[in-house]
Amino acid sequence: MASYARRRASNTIALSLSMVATVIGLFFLAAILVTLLLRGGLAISPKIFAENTPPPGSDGGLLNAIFGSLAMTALAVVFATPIGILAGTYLTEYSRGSKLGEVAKFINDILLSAPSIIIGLFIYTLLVVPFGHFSAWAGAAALGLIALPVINRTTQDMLGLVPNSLREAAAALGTPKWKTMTHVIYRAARSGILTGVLLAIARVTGETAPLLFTALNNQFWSTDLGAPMANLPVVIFQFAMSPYDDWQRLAWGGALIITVAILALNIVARLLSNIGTSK
Amino acid sequence: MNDVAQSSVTLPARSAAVSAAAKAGAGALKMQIKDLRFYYGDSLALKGVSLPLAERKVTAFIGPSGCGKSTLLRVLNRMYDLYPRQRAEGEVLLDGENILRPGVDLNMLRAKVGMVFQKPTPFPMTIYDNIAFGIQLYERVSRAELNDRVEAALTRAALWGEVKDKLNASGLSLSGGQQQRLCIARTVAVKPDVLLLDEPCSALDPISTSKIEELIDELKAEYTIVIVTHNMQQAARVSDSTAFMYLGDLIEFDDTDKIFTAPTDRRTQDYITGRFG
Repeated sequence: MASYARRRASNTIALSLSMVATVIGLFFLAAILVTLLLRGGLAISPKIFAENTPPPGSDGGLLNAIFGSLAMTALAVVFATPIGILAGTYLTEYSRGSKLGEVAKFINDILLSAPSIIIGLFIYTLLVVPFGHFSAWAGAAALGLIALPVINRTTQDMLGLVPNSLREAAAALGTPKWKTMTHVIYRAARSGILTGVLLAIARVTGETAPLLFTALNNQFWSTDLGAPMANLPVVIFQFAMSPYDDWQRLAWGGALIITVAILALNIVARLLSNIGTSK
Repeated sequence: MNDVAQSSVTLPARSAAVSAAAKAGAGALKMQIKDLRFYYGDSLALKGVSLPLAERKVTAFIGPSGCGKSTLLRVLNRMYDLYPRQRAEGEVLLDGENILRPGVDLNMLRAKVGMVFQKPTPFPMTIYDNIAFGIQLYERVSRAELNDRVEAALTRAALWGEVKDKLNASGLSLSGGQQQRLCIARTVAVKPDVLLLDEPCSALDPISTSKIEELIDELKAEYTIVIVTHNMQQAARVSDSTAFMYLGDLIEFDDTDKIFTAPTDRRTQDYITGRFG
């Protein structure tokens, strides 16, 4: 009996501790979201989507920064998705047991957690220094390089979840390997791979450091990919550090927009993977 | 020395095999397994197995877990080729041609020797496409003919009545027994000569099982069927001849009636009476 009472007591203690830990975690998340909503909400108006970033002291919006972020993220994803999916496919389906494959997987995992500022510096020396100026191309390349290992790794994981029995079943019909991949295995892993792409977008959307070295910023509306381009993270960084009230307000607005976008991407990704598993 | 030991083990089996084939009367052998050894890496899983498979008959492989019966089945369509550390030595003749020879077109081999697995494995596509997929691998057919072929295959697998109104539903939405019949239909649609069934009923309820057994009985009019089963009653019900395997050796091969009523080997008798395994 005594030991039973002790077990109950230790259960209560462990349970309370984990509840406290959960509350602490949730508190900070909620605090950030509430502050963002309160302060960023004030800055959100049609204007923020209709006008470009203003000089200090005058009115404006974030249109050029929003466009720049969308454009560079889109380019990055267009560049990283096919490479990531193909690399993931090779590493799961074709390089089984080979030394090269194992090494490539390991290096990809290192790249996955590489500090983004290093990626930024790398692209800076590769695509900025030789051309003598910052550009949206360089920004997109840096973001793509960050998205690439994420897409590669999720593709590996998702293909790994496809049961071997499905590969055998396709082979038993005499299906050539490429057709097994395109018609059966990709289909089975589709929602998972798509989830990986969405999460990579979410990861890339908030990156600031690599853009500081590559796309920098642009005060004006610009669609020239060869020139510096405005983008939300760097604008937020610059405006939030400034002493001007209206710039700071815009920075809050931008932060709210990014957060909502990332939240939405995560929710869609979650829904997609639920569809994938319930099928 | 090893060789001597092996041949002394396989000799009685081989003579039993020959007598069974003679008794079957048909004389037509679809496949012939000759002194087959199989390795998983370094470990020997089949120790020189020889066995004839009669055309349009059902042959059952029985034996305790790990005896090599599934391994043997997976040699017949070279499924083991998917895995780099597995290899087979010896000969397996299909219509007189050795399929273990290097340079055999595996896809064509597997089109002739179809396989159904233990767990149903419908492809993640519609019921219709599950069947059409295999057909379109080998043939260019018109939409109308494809429709006919799909219907014929599903009818053959006794599934048409249950799915004809939902051909565009996902194959994964069917019940386990239906999924397994879908897999049989998919395999049959390609028009193979030989059907390999790897414990096709072990994941199914008794009603689905009896449906599939009836199906096997009908299919043997057209196909040479090899079935691996853990269920002795099933082997007795559906097969014409039975091979009992133990620890990588073929112990006894004969007419099913003979194996289940008057086995010659002590181990066969112990196994079918449930004394081990």
